[in-house]
Amino acid sequence: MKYDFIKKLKSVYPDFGVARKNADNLSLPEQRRSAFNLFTENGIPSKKDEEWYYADLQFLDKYDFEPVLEKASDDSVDDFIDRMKFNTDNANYLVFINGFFSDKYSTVKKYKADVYLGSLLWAANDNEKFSGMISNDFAKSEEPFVNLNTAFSLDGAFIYIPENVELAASVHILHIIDARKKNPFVNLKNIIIADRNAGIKIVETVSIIGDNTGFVNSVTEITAGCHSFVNYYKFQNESGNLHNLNFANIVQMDSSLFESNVITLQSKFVRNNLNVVHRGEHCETSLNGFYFLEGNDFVDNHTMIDHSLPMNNSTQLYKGIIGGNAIAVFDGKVLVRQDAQKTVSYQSNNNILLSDDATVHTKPQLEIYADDVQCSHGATSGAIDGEALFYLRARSIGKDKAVSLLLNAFAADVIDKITLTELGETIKKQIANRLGIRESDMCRLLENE
Amino acid sequence: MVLLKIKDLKASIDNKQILKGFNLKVNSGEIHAIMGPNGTGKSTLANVLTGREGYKVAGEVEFLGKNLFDLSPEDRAREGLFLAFQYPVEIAGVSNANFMKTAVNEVRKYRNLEPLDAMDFLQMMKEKAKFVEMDKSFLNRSVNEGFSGGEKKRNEIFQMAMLEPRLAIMDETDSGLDIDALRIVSSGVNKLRNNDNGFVVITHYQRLLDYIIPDFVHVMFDGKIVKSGGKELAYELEEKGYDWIKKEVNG
Repeated sequence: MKYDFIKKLKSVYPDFGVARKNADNLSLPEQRRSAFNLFTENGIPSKKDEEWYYADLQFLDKYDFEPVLEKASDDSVDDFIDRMKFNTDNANYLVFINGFFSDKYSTVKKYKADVYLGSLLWAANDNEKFSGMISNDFAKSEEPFVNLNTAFSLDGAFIYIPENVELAASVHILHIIDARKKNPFVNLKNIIIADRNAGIKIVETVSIIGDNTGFVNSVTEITAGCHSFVNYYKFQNESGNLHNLNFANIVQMDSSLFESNVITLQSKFVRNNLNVVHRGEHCETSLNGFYFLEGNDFVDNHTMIDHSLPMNNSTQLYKGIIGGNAIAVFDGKVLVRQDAQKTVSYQSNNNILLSDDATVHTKPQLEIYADDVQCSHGATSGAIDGEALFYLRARSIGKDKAVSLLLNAFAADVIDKITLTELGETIKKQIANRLGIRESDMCRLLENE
Repeated sequence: MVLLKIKDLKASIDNKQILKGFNLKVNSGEIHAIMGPNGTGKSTLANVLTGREGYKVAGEVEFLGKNLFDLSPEDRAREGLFLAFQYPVEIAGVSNANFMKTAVNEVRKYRNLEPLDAMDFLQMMKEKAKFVEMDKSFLNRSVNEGFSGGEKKRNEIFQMAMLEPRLAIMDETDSGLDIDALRIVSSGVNKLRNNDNGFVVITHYQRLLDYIIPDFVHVMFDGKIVKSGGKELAYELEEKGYDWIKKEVNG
């Protein structure tokens, strides 16, 4: 152990508290202190903690992480941001550097007054209605890193879509972790609220700039109001030294639709938690994910869907291709409580392993206490289908290309669930490039005829 | 011209000997039917010739003058060997059109030809689809996924038309076909037939041979050919069954 992460936090926390005292509506001294104490008392989770069995958190003490507690100037990340953007004009960009909103780089379209797309800190300070909503979301949690986040987080995206408003343009949240000078430790918090009958599509990307090591700990609170829809995509394609822990809590009201897709094409270390709770009936929840790992990549996906009320549907489809020495984890829980009659819930996790040293740990879990439900879950892992491979080769397609075609097809059904065209297209292109598929798509030609 | 020359071919799988000295010569322009009861090694023959893994083989097979066993499955296909599968594989997520474009261009690359451009390819694909009375929408569907038995077999013939092989092996193509599909499949084959290519039609029943008229009929039993003749041999088998052959062999 080279450094002591907790000791470092303890040394900066009192100053942070003094500096923040009554600074603004996000001072919240009580909430922050109790969350911080809870985190430090329990310490960093270890292998003994089932939830953290496969995620090796020793990196925390391996680097001299510097908590980022105030905003620095948003200098010279122009090119970097351009690369992160998708090929579309029909998008809003909320850009954050080390967790703080960058006015300079963000671009938001004109909307009617009560649509809010911007900084959490600004929203808390400028708007009384928002201020209350936001401070309520800083509460103690059972999740250690959420407590850590509560102690330190100050900014992140705040998105509020009022009743009956559906944004035609998507919202891209771009987080840049600036590791050009130090090893930054960034806590950030996003709050996303779609009011009754509202709709929004969001993509979140975290990217690191510089050669040092970064650690980002993010918490996202999403509320999908009655009859609303929220599409929440995470696009993780980071080759740098980024350790990314993120936790999203989703609350769904009556007849709401929540759809997520977590795409990981490269990652040194990423942990994705999605927790969904239904506070109404006739909700639809669809959690999807795709990971394509090589080298020493590590991705750890955890999902939890809490069916506490009747007549809600949930589906989960996570698929992954794992090569090299990479490790993937899927830990998916579905809880169907006694009152949750007529629940329909399906979960599946399919993996293709490309090398002997690639690993997947998959743990689909279903806990049912109601008697009138339809639920299933399953997981597969194995090599590529030999019959299909022979069929393609017997039609003159070389072995490598045949493997590529099959892997591309394997990915397709998860990627096709993405309803945001610019994101889906970008991901498909990147996967095809990585697989060396250059054939033009005949299907589009046929359709356009 | 000799397309295929098989000499004393032996093959075993999991230490079980299946082919026990199989001999056959196919010249261009010829259709050979291989008939025989179940379990005599007909499908093993098709598998071994196209390079499916898992078999231990001995003997000699020359295809267009080359040692077939020196070639990978894809190179055998690129040289012009085609297998119409008994059980075509379903491949979700790969469209027929993209599958065939990739396949055709791989063959062209092997023969040092420029890849076909998308519009030319589209034209070619639509023409060949007509061969087997396939609708255009067929091309956009995933390879064999959710296809009926008949559709799968028609798709095999469509692929054969696209790849224009020198020698096509048809493994029980008639199994699971209704009379209409059988007619479509055989008329496709008859249109593809010419003086340069050849066919080996593996079948259990004679009915396919009413549509695809063979030049030679071979009866296979216990891993080798035990009787050869003209198309009339097929009728004899239809009438008398296979028992008399077994008796003759075991005689």
